[in-house]
Amino acid sequence: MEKKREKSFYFSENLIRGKRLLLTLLMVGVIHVSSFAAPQPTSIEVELNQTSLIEVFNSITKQSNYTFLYSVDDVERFNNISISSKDDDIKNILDESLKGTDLEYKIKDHVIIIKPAVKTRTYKINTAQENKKISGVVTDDQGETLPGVSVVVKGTSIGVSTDIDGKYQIEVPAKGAILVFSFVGMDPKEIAINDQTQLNITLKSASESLNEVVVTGYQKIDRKLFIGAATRLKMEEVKLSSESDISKSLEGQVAGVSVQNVSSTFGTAPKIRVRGASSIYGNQKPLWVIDGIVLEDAVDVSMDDLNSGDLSTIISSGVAGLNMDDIASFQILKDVSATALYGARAMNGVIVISTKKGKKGKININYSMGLTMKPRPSYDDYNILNSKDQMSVNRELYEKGWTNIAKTQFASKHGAYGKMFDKISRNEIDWASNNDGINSFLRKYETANTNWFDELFQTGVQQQHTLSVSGGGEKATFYTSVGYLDDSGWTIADNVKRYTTLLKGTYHITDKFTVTATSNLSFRDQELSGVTNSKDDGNQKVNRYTGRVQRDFDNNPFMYAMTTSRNIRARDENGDLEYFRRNFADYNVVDELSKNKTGVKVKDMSFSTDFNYKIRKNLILSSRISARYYNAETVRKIHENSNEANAYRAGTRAGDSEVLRDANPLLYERPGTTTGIKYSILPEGGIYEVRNNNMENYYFNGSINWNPVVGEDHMFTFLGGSEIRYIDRNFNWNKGYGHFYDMGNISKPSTNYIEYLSMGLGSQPEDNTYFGKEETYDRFVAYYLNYGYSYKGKYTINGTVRYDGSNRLGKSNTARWTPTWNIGGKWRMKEENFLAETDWLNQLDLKASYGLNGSLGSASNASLLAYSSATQRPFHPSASQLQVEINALGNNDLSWEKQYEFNIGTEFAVFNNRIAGEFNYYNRKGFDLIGQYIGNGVGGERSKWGNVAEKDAYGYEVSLNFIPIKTKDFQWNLNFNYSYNKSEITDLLSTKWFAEATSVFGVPVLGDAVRGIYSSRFAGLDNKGIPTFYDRNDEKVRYLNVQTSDYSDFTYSGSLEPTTNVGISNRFSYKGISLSVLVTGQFGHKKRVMQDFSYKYTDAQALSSHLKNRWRVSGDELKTNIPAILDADVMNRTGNSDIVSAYRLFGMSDYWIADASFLRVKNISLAYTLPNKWVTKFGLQRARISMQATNVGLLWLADKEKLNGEDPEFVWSGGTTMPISKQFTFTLNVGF
Amino acid sequence: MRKYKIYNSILLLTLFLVNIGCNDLLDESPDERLEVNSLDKVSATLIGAYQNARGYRFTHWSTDNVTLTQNVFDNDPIIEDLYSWSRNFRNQTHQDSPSSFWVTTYSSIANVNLALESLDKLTINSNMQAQADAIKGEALIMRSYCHFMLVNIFAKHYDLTTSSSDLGIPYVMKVEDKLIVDYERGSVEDVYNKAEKDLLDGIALLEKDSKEVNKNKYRFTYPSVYLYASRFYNYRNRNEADVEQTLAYAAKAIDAFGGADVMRAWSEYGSDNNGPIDIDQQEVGMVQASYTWTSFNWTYQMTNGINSSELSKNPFNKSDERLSMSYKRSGDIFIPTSFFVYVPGNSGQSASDIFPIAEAILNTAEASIRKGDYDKAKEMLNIIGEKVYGSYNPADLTTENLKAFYELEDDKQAWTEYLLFERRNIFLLRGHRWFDIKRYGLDVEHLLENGTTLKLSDVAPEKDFQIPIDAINTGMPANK
Repeated sequence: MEKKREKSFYFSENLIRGKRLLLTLLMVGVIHVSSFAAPQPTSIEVELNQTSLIEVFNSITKQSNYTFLYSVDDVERFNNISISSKDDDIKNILDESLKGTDLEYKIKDHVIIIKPAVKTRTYKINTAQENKKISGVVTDDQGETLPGVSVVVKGTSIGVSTDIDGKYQIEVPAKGAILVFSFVGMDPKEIAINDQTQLNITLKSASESLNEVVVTGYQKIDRKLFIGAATRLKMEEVKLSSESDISKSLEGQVAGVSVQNVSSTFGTAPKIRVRGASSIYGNQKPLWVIDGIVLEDAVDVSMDDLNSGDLSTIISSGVAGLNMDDIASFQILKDVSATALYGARAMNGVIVISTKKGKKGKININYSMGLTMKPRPSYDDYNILNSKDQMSVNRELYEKGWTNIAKTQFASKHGAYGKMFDKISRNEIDWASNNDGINSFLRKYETANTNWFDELFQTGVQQQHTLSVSGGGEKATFYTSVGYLDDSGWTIADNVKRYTTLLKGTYHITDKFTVTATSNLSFRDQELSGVTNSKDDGNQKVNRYTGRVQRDFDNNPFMYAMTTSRNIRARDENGDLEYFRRNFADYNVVDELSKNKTGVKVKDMSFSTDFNYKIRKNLILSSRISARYYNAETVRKIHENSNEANAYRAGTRAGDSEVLRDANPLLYERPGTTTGIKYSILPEGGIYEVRNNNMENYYFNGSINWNPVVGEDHMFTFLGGSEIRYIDRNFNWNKGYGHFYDMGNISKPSTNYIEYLSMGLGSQPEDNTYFGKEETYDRFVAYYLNYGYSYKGKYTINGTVRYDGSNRLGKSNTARWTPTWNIGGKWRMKEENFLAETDWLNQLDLKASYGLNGSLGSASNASLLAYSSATQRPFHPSASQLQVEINALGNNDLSWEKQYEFNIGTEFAVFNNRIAGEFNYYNRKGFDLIGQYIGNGVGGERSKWGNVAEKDAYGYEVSLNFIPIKTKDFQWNLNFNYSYNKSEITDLLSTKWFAEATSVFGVPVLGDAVRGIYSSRFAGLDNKGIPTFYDRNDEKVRYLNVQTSDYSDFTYSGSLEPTTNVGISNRFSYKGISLSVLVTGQFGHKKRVMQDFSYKYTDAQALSSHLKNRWRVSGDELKTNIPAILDADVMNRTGNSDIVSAYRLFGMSDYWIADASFLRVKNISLAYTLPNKWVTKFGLQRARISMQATNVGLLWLADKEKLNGEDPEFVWSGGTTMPISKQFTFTLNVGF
Repeated sequence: MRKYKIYNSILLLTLFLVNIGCNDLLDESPDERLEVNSLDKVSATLIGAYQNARGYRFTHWSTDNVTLTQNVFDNDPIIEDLYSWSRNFRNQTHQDSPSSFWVTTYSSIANVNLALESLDKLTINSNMQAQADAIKGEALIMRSYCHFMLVNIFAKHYDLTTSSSDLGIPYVMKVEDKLIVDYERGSVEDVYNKAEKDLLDGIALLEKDSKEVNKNKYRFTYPSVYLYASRFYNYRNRNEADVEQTLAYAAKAIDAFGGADVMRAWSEYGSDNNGPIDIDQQEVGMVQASYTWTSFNWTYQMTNGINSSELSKNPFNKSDERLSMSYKRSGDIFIPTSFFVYVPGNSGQSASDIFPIAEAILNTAEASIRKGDYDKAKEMLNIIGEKVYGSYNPADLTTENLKAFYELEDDKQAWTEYLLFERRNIFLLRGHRWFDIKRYGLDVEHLLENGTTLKLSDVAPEKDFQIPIDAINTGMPANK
């Protein structure tokens, strides 16, 4: 067959139906297609004289929304067609035009298929063998019949092709014949013939990349004409059934997308970065777009905040309310050309989610169920002293004077020794006469070896159910689903229920007017252990001396298990709960977890309506209106008998010692008294604290899409429009101190509490009141124009200009607007004549794009920011007045953060698409990035927010798809993606104190990463077992000033974010069985190992088994780096004031920096699609079962010794954080 | 077809709606930030100018009230740098660093300027005029005071002969609205002139209607306004006119306090938890809190040695109530109570009276001594003496006794010596001593941990603190 170039144009938006077929045909270029799609036309005018049949078809397509499908060879012979019909039915026109030809037509789904009228072409079998007849129907995987499929007896030239209904009939040798079914763009199928006479075949499309459209949210563009860097993922291929949050499924799937799962708690977002962080202090999160509508953050949780373990992190994932089963696909837009239509919001990349929709035809009912088990963690994975070793450390602590009767009196925490001394002081243990009492007391704990994981964790069971119904007719299609998720919890404290529903209907009101209405509702009810927010220290997120996240009352079960001595028992000999002191009050973790809880309820409703009006076939007017209402209520429920409530009154209750009262920092002194007596703000009752995050979001978009074609080869596209966004966010909170849960939920606040608030002693205004609210108003307007030109689909250029305006920067006419633009080009080389004959090459595209995009920075001080508060007058509450303070000086020059991006890439496919791949290189220049300018301070601020930073970045992305083996029944797909990103901040001043720079948060590093980690330089132990460090002059010292932003004494340890991300996925399929293995890896980043070495310990602490190697005698410093436990009186000697600093610096030192690179077996899944003949017996359409194992284990860890069981992705912040866990999932999917 | 037209127009209307009214939409304020557009908000903005986190009490460590302690081993760069008059502080963000004082004080100035600028934009009704004048007056005085303290910390002391060429500090009268703004330091003379104008304009406005003047003692009130004016002229001491002004304003201040008698006996502080900062007491001028680490266990600290060899050495050999009660600290640290009061809780914040009546009395005494009016000086110093010494006998305070005690020939010198002694003791731990050292050109010698000594006259002969390193980095001329 002679190959012909196709001439076609695909900017049409509604190119969905029949499209896959068309595009695959186009690939090979033997069939000519013109396509325009729209609702049913009724009448067409055609008046042509002596023209070619092709012209007739073109004429029809220009006026209607029908698409023709034909082979050029069949059609081009007819050049003398005359036809004249006014307002005639399409069928009549076709009948007339095909009259006298040997062609026939069939209309399927707006596609008019033109075929030779020969029903079947049967070839004579030229052997004398005994033959048999086989017949059947060939369909595609959507159930549509396929005409023109070649059916050949393998190894012979005997063959037929299917007719217009997809039917075929062939004679084959009676024995040993193999039939090969092949069709362009489809995977061929080989079937061995035994006894069958009827053989119905379903062909699957060959490679996903061949028939894609790129969904940008604003447009759907044919992949071939799309210039930008974008990756599409099909949900079923990436789905981790055990994860309830789709964002967690992206790890290792896409080149250029880095996903770090900092916590596994439901609702916490992973850190996702597309091509690295663009901004330094601003928003670094990609934009999520669901069915064309940007998912606005209901709660602004920055990438850094995700590390904090604070309450807001559990509502940080915007997509936690989406049911994975409702999602059809993802599109990840990476470069400026892809994201251009999002303009000044797209600097961090865009993730577009398309949800499922109904298809015409019979009603489809689908049920899917997922059952996930999470095994409880085990001490084998971690490095903690057992009870006996711990007791020996306790004894040393006792001998060295750290635990004794006097000290344990005012200790906030007790372990076994503390408890013993406490009992001695109450004369409950006889100490004076002999040691028997003590020994038998201690022996109980020495052998306790409490398994905290057993006490606090359970085998988590999570079930997910989704029932969906979809279908539709000529005028309307619908998709409806309801989903239910129930997670009974990995720990004894947590559980989640989530209900979701998605309703989507598409209505073809007239041929030209289509309306799609969608509503998506979700409700979440979650409970977890009581969480308090971390404490700021001098505007740093961590303690200024230790670099650690600090919080009061952390009941995080994982942290508790990891940091609590195994000498402490959860239950005594009789099986009753046993209490030890913590926060100056009795504590038992099991009891506390039942009395101190965090509850989260999220209600999320979104509604949207799309209007599509086809003025002419290439001129479409569309509009989209959407509204979203969101409410997240986070409640801290602290029961009146909980440890936290009791801690507020420890020392003031009857029988409490004065020592306890003086030591308890939660008590307060009344100013104006000289007695020194301290009072409790919570003399009775518990705490009920509610935080409400509300959002109202409206969005309007109107656009015009015009796709003129000049001649046959020049195709243009224009998309112009504008949009408005309107978001009101409202956050309010209430603190109820003195709440009685067991007395019918009443509150009885103490006068002390009000007095305490009025003193204004808290460091933050919100600490000094019981109610507060914050509102923000986000207004946004944009105008955009996208234009493109393509010459025969071979050369394409495309560009966008957009003009965004926002009120976020403040009242300044200059700051609020920013223009963005881009331009790109693509050359499809395979379409050139000189490559047309190169059979092994299936595709070779070259593309390049350049443009400017932006992002609203974190600063909003284009005009001065003034906020009010109450003046702090602790001695004289009545003298307190309202004051207005300047929060930030105005900066008239403030503008949006911007970035130039250059992308060059290639896409190729060779050897019958057996090897396909994409390579992209990009270079990004971020400028006007917002950071803190450190000026002369005369304006009244040490540092001001402004466009001060610049950043260069480059990177490349490779994704390769191999099909090494492909036989009739067996196929092996190997997908490999690799990305490298290197960022360099070229201009920025640091203002963070050193402590934060050593922490999980990290700091921007001039000349390097956006978040890097610093360390003190460990210089070994000295001859007393005390750590020493090098100062800036390389002298060994114990003291270094950490409350400084001068980092000269310290060393840069590297980036906290991986520079390299790898994903390798193998998929094997054999008949209905498929096995896939996903390995993900991250490289090039560092992590600070969690450890807690000190010159002293408490008997309540869990200690690292490193302590076995601690320094004990002089000379040990040559053998070990684990510092000594010191004598208590050493601290009171001349020149020893810096010992405290030395032990703190040890934790912040480079000794505890680990290379965090790893390779993880992320997922193994085994699926079995039950054979049709079984399934139909049960009245089902299809059935599939699968088993998945997620987070199977680490394949390779760069610094195994140092990390010692610690997950390289997990951050140790307590609060809401939980490490990622192994998960085993069983899923069942049936269709009715 | 009619139906299409309806849809058509709906869509076009939508498009149209999208395109109008965008600038109005974008005028919406993004959050609850305030526009200072009423007199109440102007007043609140002025209140916001009084900061309660940093004061000038850090200068304590630079004075001769501090020395090397015994048996205390805690040190910190900030303490060491203050003690050794470092020209390059290691910790520029510490609350006790001069650079923190710089930023915080300029931040107060920004608040004042915002209040003044906003006030200018308001239309004031005649019935609000008096209130507006009082607010403006207070704002101008606050601006004057902030610059006055800045110039005294970061520049050479006012000297008639050189101050027109001595580097001053930027005098800011406008709220900054650009990212990068370069300021001229001007001269000391220049700063004093501007501060004087603001001060006098402010007083004139306040005196228009006394009813409107603020009564809240965390802000400028009548006595503290006059007391500041008296301090201003007393520090400048350019000529006889300044001496007279010192006297005049000190007298007005004392009057406003309610007479010199309102000063309480020091022993009364023992029974009043809010002691020296009890705003219900007439003697209190203006309370300010700060996080200054004055009383912690530092290796450089006020010691028993300093107490016995200097502070307790009064000419009358009487017990000094000011030194009789003290905190228990490590080693030989000596921290007398009643010079500041700790805020309850664990914040480390403490408050003190930065314009106590005692200063007005002592300013009168000082100016009188300058004039040679020792009777007046004696009268004033006797008021102090009776409040602070046990069994004080006013008759003991004579020129002869002072000359004998200080072994001086000159009357004025002897009176000055005693005046400085009283000032030193009554303002202990409050930072005033530093300015006296500066004004009277005294020298200080500090003993370091390593056994060597440093002399103030060698390290910082101008007794100025270096301006912040960040300001120098932006090109602002540094002190020598």
